[in-house]
Amino acid sequence: MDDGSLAEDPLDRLRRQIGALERTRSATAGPGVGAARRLRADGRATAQVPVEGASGVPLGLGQIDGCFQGGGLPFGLHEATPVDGAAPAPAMGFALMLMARTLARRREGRGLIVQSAGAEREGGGLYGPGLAALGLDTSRLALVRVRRPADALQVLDEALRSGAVTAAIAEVEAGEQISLAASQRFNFWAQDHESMAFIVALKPSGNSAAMTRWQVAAAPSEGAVAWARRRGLRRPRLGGAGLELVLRRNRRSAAGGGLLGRWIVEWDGEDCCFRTPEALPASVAGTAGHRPDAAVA
Amino acid sequence: MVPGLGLVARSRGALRLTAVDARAEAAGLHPGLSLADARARCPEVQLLEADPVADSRALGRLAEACRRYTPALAVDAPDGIVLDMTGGAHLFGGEVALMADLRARVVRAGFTPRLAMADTPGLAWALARVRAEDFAAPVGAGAELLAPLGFAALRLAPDQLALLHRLGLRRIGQLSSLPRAALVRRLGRSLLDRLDEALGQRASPLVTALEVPPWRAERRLMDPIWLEDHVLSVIADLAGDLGTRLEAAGLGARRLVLELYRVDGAVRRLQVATSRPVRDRARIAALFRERLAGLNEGLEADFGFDQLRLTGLLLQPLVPRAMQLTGETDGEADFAALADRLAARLGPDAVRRFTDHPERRLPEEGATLEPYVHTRAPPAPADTAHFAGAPLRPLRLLQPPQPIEVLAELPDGPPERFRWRRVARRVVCAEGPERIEPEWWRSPAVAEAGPRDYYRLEDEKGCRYWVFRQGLYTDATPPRWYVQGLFS
Repeated sequence: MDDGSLAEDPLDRLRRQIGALERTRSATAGPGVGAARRLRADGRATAQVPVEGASGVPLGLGQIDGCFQGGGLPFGLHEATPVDGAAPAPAMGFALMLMARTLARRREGRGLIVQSAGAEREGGGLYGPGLAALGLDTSRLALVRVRRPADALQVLDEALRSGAVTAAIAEVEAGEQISLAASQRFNFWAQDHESMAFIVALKPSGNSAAMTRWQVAAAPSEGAVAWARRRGLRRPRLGGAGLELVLRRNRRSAAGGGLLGRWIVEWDGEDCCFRTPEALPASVAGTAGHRPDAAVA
Repeated sequence: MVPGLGLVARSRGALRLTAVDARAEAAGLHPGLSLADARARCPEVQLLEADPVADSRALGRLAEACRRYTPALAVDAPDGIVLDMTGGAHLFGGEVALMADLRARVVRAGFTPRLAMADTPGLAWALARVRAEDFAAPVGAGAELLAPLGFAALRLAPDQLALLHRLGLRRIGQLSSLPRAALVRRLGRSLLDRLDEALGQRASPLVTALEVPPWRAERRLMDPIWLEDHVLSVIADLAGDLGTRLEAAGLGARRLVLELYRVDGAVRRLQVATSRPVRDRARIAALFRERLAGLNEGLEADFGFDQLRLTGLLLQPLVPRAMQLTGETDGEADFAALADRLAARLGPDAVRRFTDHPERRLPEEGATLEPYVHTRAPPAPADTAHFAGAPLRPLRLLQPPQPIEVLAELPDGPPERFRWRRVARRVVCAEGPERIEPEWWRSPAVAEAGPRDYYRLEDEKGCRYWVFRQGLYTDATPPRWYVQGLFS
């Protein structure tokens, strides 16, 4: 054995390890448990949610899905924060919409939401009927409240490692920092079990290995306002649930450089997908008296 | 010389001593002395106010620690504990060894006991209070032992004692020569009842403090253990024992309690609850590992534990399920196991599930979050009505609703502007009202509050709020406005 090979060996090993950490599911998807599970997931997928690109979850909007290799949001860790200066609620809403979409694809999938007590005090507790209105099946969800902010990430870690959850959301307080190692671990567990992990924070973390990073704000119902103005109505009705999405980071870009972008989208709770906002307000809701009982009670 | 300690409480119109320790007694104080006299006789004795509630709590803790000897025990307030050792003394090396062991433990816990063992609780009560040293009465010797004792040994009322004194009766033995009928006439039935109970001629059942749950596994250890690893391995053994018996009965436990008996008499109780019945050794052990990890103050083993006891409190049928040969895991079972582990570490209230109460009308009561381990899985919703447009219900609920200042169109229009959290917001889009009538039949206060008119609002930034108006503008008092929810 000569000196050169001795010097090279550890470096090669390191490269292999890094490659294993960074590996893409599509590249390593051979015959195995993961592949079998993916086949099952595809077989069970519901009719209204198309299944394409087994390495992630498509959002249902071609212009966003086209940014990602495999045509969908990759499995792993994702971060959602509010646009600077905007209200914090829509970031959680976006994570819940993605959770709804992930759970709609897997009939047996379960979701876990972790809230720290401080975040809950500030923004209010999650409300079951509101989640159901987004298309989430609340009987498949559990909510964990933690007193110490550090516990939120610990619970997320444990949930992802166990493989029992398909989608997990951790809402952390402003001061909580996520270490690079922790975020890599989240990525690893999530990709290993083909699940989605979301961290919803007030500020983007400085140094994390999240697959994507989003900034989210509420989008005003411009279509509905313009429509009402054309009709001469004094007070417009609400449009669909609109969000402004800014993709700040993309580690699984379809083309070489990180494809980023900004979109205005609307969530469709019926089909569990995103769509472009319509010019007409979709809900021309009747008066309270004409609603079905479930909507009134 | 170290001054003694005495306790003071108000009785018969004055502050009087209720208890004194040995040093205070040596200084000439005794219970019943008034506070002023005590101060005059011995000013350096420390006097504290008596706290009977704390006393009874301490007595209860001591009784719990005595559970290691027998499950049938009664707390004899204010100062006694009765253990029913019938047929059990030989397990501890005989009566004398049992009393020595008990004395050592009680002394280590910081108390000075007076112990007696006898055929009946009444006789043991008398002997413990009369004799200074520990005493195990020979079987059937009750009459001889009681004869020389005073009537104070019979648990009689003070007026009965005074009457006996006036009649010139000093010793219990003197009663045997008197006609029973005359005694009953003069002194009442209870005197002879007490005597007969002490002699075993009348039944005196104990009111035991707790019945024994049968699903229990326990280990008494030769030497105390204090390392967490050792405790966990004993827990795993106990879980194995309990699990085998539960399996034979086709049951699983939903709630388990572990009792750790510390050498100095303290008892630690740790409880875990699960969302579905368990009996698997590894799963039970894992739950307690999480429970121990979640203790803020640690195990507090000090000198170690010499007895551990695992009890299944809430049992449910558990039907064994066949393993899936394809390697497919049961998603629901995995998820329940995860929820149980988290609940064991963070507390049963930390892990919750969304629960609907269709019979309740108010939004905050109609859907709540209930502890995961204490509730059943709700049925999957049949087909909830999803609206393609704006959701009808908010994502987040503010509880309690937060008051806002509103500029609204009269009489029932939605707000034009409102101020919430000190920020003024202009309303661009609005829908409503949706009237929700509270359940006026529940209480007058609810009926008083009146109906709520809910509006969904969107401000110029696109933020959406769920606000309601309580009351009407035509009422005498102006209505109040609240924001109760936030949409995404």
